[in-house]
Parts: sequence; C-alpha cells; structure tokens
Amino acid sequence: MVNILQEVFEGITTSLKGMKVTLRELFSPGCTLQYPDERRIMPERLRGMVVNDPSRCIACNACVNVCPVGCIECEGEGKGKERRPIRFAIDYRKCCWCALCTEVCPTESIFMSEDYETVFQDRTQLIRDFCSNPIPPKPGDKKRTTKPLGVPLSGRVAF
Amino acid sequence: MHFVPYLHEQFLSAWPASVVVLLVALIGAGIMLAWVALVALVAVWAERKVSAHMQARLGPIYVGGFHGWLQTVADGLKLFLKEDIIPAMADKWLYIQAPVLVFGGAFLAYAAIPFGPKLVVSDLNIGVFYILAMSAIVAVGIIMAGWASHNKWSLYGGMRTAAQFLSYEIPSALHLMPVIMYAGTLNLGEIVRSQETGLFGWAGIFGWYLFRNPFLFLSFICYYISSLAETNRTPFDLPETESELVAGYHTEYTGIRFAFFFMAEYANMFVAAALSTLLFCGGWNGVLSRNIQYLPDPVVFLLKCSAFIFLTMWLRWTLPRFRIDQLMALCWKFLIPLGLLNIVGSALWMYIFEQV
Amino acid sequence: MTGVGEEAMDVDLKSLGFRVEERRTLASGSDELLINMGPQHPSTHGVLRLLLRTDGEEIQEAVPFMGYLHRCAEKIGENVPYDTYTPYTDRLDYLSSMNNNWAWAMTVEKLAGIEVPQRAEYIRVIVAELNRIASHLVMVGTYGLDLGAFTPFLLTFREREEILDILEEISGGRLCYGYIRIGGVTDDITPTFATKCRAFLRQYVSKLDAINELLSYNRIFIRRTANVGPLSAEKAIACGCTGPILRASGVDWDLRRDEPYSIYDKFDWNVCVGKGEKGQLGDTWDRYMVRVREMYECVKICEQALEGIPEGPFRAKVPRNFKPPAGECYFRAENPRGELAFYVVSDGSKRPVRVKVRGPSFCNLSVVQELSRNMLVSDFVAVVGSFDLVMGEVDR
Repeated sequence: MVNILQEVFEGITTSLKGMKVTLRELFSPGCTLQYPDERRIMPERLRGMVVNDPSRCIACNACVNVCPVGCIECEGEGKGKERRPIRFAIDYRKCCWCALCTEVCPTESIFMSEDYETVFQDRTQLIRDFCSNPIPPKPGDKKRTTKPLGVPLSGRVAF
Repeated sequence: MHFVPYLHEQFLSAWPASVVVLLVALIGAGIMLAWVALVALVAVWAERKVSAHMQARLGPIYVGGFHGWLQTVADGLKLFLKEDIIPAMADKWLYIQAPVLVFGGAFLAYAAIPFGPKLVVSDLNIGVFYILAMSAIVAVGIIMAGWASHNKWSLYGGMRTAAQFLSYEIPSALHLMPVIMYAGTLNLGEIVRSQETGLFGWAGIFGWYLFRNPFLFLSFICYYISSLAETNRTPFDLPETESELVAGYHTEYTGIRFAFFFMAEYANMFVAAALSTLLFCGGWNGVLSRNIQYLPDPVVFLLKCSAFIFLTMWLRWTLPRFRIDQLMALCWKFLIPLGLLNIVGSALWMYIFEQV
Repeated sequence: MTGVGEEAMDVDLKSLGFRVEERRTLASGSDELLINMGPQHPSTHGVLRLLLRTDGEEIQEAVPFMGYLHRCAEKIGENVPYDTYTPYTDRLDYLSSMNNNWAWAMTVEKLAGIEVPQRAEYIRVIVAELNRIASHLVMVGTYGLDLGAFTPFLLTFREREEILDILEEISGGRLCYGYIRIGGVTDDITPTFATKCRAFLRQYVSKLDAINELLSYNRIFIRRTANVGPLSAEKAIACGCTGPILRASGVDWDLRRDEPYSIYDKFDWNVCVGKGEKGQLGDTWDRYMVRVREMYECVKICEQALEGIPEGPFRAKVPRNFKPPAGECYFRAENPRGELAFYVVSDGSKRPVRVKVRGPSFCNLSVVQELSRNMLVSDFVAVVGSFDLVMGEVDR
C-alpha cells in the first residue's frame, strides 16, 4: 500500500517537473524557418549538385574513375593540352553527392554548386550533357583561383 | 423546459404541443452541432499551436492569416474530399455505424451541459448521470470500429479500449459521488448554484467544491485523471497509440469517417472539461462573489473550460503513455478504492463539520 | 531461426501468403494471432519486419525478418578502389556516418601502414564524438516517441540540427559526410568551427538536463522501461552484443578505453556502465540511460580535443592510385551502436578482394527474439526501441 502511494506521489512530482520543462518551452521562440520565404544561409562548402564546366575540362577521366556509383560519362578528343570533351554527361539518378569527383579534378572544372533545390519534371532531364547544355555565364564572372581539395566556389548555380 | 409552453402559447398555438417540442429539440440540436463544430475547430487549432510551441516549432501559420486559424477548416475540407475506402473484408454495416456511434455519444452529452443559469438545451434532473451514460456510448463505437476494420492492429486498439473505457467509467462515477452528496441533486444547474457560497458563508472561490474539503480535492484530481482515460488522451491513449498500433482503432478509416472520430475526440474532451468545471470549479460562478461579477456567465464558464482543455493538452505533450496493465492496475487498485474512501471521508466530513 | 518448431514453421510459411481462407482457418483453429509488425511500422526503426505470434497481448514468439535494405555494400567493395568505398561506408549506419568512415579509414591505414598526422587525429575525434551525440539524440528522441512522449523527440532533434549545421560547415553534407578518409580528413576545419563547437557544447549540457527531467526520470517512463527485457551480461556476451547494450548489462567494456585507437588514450573520460538503478540490471531503462550518460562524456571528450588541436597537415600523402600491400586486416571501432569492424583482404591491387562488415546492429538484433518471450506488445516496442537498430548496417 505504501509502495503504491509512494509511486503515485513520485509520479505526480516527476510529471510536474516535466510539465515545467514543457511550459518553459511553450514560451520560448520556435526555431522553424518559413521556407521558401525564409531560407538558411548555406555554408561555403555545401555539396550541391555536381556541375562541370566543359571549357576547363580536359576529359582526363579522373572523375569517371573515382565516382563510386559510376554516374559520369566522358568522351574527349584531342591530345595533351588541346584535349577537350565532346560529351560529358552526369546521370543525376545515380549521383550520391559525395564530392569525390571534385577532389581529383586537376583543372577544377567539375565542382559542387550551391544548388540544392533541384526539381525535375521528367526523367530524361536527369541525364545532363554539359557539352550540349553548358552552365549559363554569370555577369561579372571572375576567373577562379586555385583552391585546396574539394572546396567549391560560391555564386555558381547549376541550372 | 419552460421555454416550450411559452413558445407554444405565444407564437405557435396552431400547432400541437408535440410538434413544438420536436421543433425546439431540432433547433437545439442544430445549435449544439454548430457549437460542437466550433469547439472542434478551435480545439484542434489550439492543440496544434500549443503542441508546436511546446516543441520549439510554430504550428499552423499560413492558412487564414492570423497564425493559421483556418487550418482546421482546410483540413476538414481535405478530409471531405478524400476517397471513401471500406476494406473488402470489413464488416460493412458495423464499419459504417462505428463513427456514428462515437460521434453520437459525444454529441448527445452536449444536451445537458449548461453554459449559464438558463442556457441549456435540456435542463435534465439527472444531468450528471445522463452525461456519463452518453459518454459510455463512445466505448461501443470504438469497439465496433476495432472489430469491423478486419485488421489485427485495429482489433488490438478496440480490445484495449473495451478494457480501458469500461474500467474507467467506475472511478469517474465514484469520484463524482461526493459532489452529488454535497449538492443533493444530479441537476447540473443546481450543482453550480450550490457552489455560490462555501465555507463559513464565504462566496466566490471558496464556494467551489474543489476547496470545500480535502476529500473533494482528491476527488477532483482523481476525476480528472479518469476523464483523461475516458477521452483517450495521453497518458492513457493506448487505443490510438501511433507508435505501436499504427493508428489503433481508426487505422482503416479515411475521409469524413476519420473526421468524425477526430471531432469526437475533441468534443469528448470539451464535455470532460465542462463536467470538471461545473462540478468542481464553480461552473459559471466567478472567483469573487456573485454580486460583483463583471464578465457574463458563459464567458466565465468557457474560460474555465479552456483552462482545463489547456491542461489536458499540456499533459498530452509532456507525459509518455501507460502500458495497458499499468493502466488497469491504476484504475482497479488505486482509483476505485480511493473513490470509495472519498465517499466515506466526504460523508464523515459533512456530518462532522457541516452539520448536514 | 532458433526457437521455432517444425509445426510452427509450417504455420508461419502458410500464413505468409494472402489467401483469406487460410487466414480464417488459422484464426479459428487456435487462439493465437499472427501479427506482422511489418516493414512499414512507426516503431520498428527502419524496414524491419517482425512476425509476432501472440496470445492476446502476450507475445509467444517474435521472429525478425531482415533484408529489406540490402544494397550489396560488401560486394560493391570488391569493385571500387579503397578511397572510393568511403561513401558506401557512410551509408551503412547512416546516423553515425563519421564513425563508419573512421573505422574504414583505420582498417586500410592499418593494412597499408599509413601514419595519420596529429591534427587529423584530433579533428577525427571531435567530429566522431559530435556524430555520436547526434546519433544518441536520435535514439533518445525516437524512443520517447515510441513510448508516447512526443515532445522530447523535437527537442532532441533541434539540438541535433545544431550539430548537423556544424558538421555541414566542414564537410558539406548533413547525414552522409564522407569526411574522414584514408590518411586523414578531406579538408581542414574552417576558422569558425572551433568557436561554433564550443558554443554548442556549452549550452548543450543544460538542454540535456532538461530532457532528463522531461523523460528519463519521469515515473511513467520508468514504469514503462524498468524491469522490461532485462539482458544478462552472460547472454549479451554470448550473443555478441556490443556497445551501449553490453555496457547496460553491467559489462565494463569500451573499445575506446580498452583497445584504444587513434588518440583516445590522451583524454580523460568515464565509461558509462548500467547499474540497475531503477530495476533489474540490463533492462531497457539501463540501455536508454547509458546512452544519455554517454552524451555527457562525449561533451567532455570534445572539449578536451578542442583545447589540444595542433597545427599541421590534415591528411597524409596517399597516392592517387592507392595500392596497399597484399594481406588482410581486421579492425574494430566503437560506434554509437556498438562495435563496427571491417575485414579487408587485399591482393596488392587497387581494389579489395573482399570487404566484410561486422555491423553492430546485426548482432544486437539477434537477441530480440530471445528477449521477447511472454512480453506484452507495448513492452516489445520498448525493447526494440532500446536496441537502437539501424537497418542500414543490419542489411548492408
């Protein structure tokens, strides 16, 4: 009998303590961002969608070989310094956004853009050939400086 | 109702009395239905906002401008437009009747709830008894829903409800007994009137049965806990546990049928809050004596009901839920003996201190 | 599957089809129910199917079926180079991705004899412990949700968001980082990383105390979890359980202290062992509380590591076409869920011959069937939740 009373008493006191915590939370401000009206400021190293700039690409196939899921296809022509890709396609159905390709690129032509709000209406849009569909140039686009492994530039959007 | 003969004589003398009674009943039911819809609307919105702010979120913000107050209407419309699916193996008649019973039981109880001294659809002499009885119809509906869904998880929900609901009817009634003893009547209006003066003739808050004697205070707490179990609210929401039984007895229900269950839960919650207010907290009597009451009676009553509803929501979002055997142990081993003790204790107190 | 007799096996297989008459004869023949806590269920974390044979509410038998998340991670290990395999290790136990990466990196480093610079070691410890906190927060939150306490879920996830923001700043990802690589880490930490970490850790302890007040010491929670599903130390060791589950059963074993890897021997922290405070030793409350207490210890380790980060390179020079020497290597690390181990067989080429993953949740899951006899369904949900299973590493 005493056991039951003790339990009930403890139950009520611990519940009241819990209610105090909830009451305190009730009067604290919420931490929800009203997306899409309010957006988070993304960090510089955000791994957005993978994008390739065919003007800098030398079709060395380093990214093709390092990709864990094999989503990059690249065909190039020319030799040495004049080598350029004629077809560079990324299959976004497979890309796992791991950024391994950006680390091994010698010319930093492939990079992770800032774009994370990616919507496609059609599956055929998911395989993008950058040679026929290059990145639109931004006004005031400066030449990139070399950066250590894997750091993307800010301000470049994929689509 | 005195209202009916008055209406009959003055305006509708051409019609027979029974028709006038029926007309008044239908109008009353219509008003109450509108009220129940309003209660459900506000309660669902309040629940979402309260729960959101307790969880560091914001809740509905967008729909309707001010903090999303039309969100429930939008959700109701959405549910209305959903496809009505009845499982192929379900017991069709029972499946369709279950939400009717659940909502009907909750709705019928509104007939006897007074919002003010003369503001009641039907001033029953057995008001308390009637409300408890109508709330029990909800249990039948839930068991029907659990069985008719032809789903083992729903069956679990239904069976748990059968045990929980019917068991907690007893402490509910037992803990209301001391109040009935004090008031001497089951009529809700009379009970509130008898709370106008209390200890030593002091009025206002001292008249509330809550503060009249320690046994009544205990009664209040235990009745509140039982009412939480009756309305399937956490910590007693086993029949509809989201994490164990998918959705319990209303797993298979879609669209407007689910809306009925949902509305019935909040309607029930209001009835429980109303009963607690009327019987223990002075109903529409204010904190000060009746002579210096500034707010109108229904407003005071609704404020008190809202406080209880807020408390119910606060408890829901704080406490984990009981297991079924712990729930039953709480009822049979703790609340029922305490109820009987309370009746005896209250009676003794009345005899010794109040010379009744 | 032990414990399932021949007749029971026949009954199981028959009822797995969807022929209604069969189900009806089953129901009328005996009083027991065969219920599927199917792959889609709110409280089997992830896609775990549990077939329950119940007598009313008491479970007579609970048979786990796994494989719904099998993605051939071990087979793929034979087809990709060593560094490329890192994203696959991320996705094994997706809630503690840094720890998985670290175990894989250490296995290959041990095989190839690569020495990791000190700065990288410190960074690895910090991010791994932060990820441990995040993983335990998920367990605490979802466990409360399983038992009906809705609020701790959101409070823990709000704290977890802070950690994820910090880790996103240095790695770019929020759940699967791929940050810890063979030889070091991908990138150096940003200048604001240390300040943000310190700010987070400073305010985190009080939040943890609030969650304790709200959930851990709540009488209803204790009634639901104390004396439920006690796992004795002998059974835990016999079944290969590791991690917080083993420690909750009273066994004082933590790989970070007993077989220290990396720089764990430089830090001063305690191993949290269950003591049977609220009931039997090794019950679900112990399993839950060990994780909560471990979070306090992780904070300590992080703070000590942040004090002592030296300058230097953040990654050892690993050749582009990395070819470790031929041989095999087994290495185990202490993950939030237990002991994650990698066994790598190499023949000197740039791809492994065999990668075998010893997932902690896989071995922990095997105990569930034993523990669940004669238990109510509500208790069973509590037990499965306390094991903190992530199907990614059960199924791989």
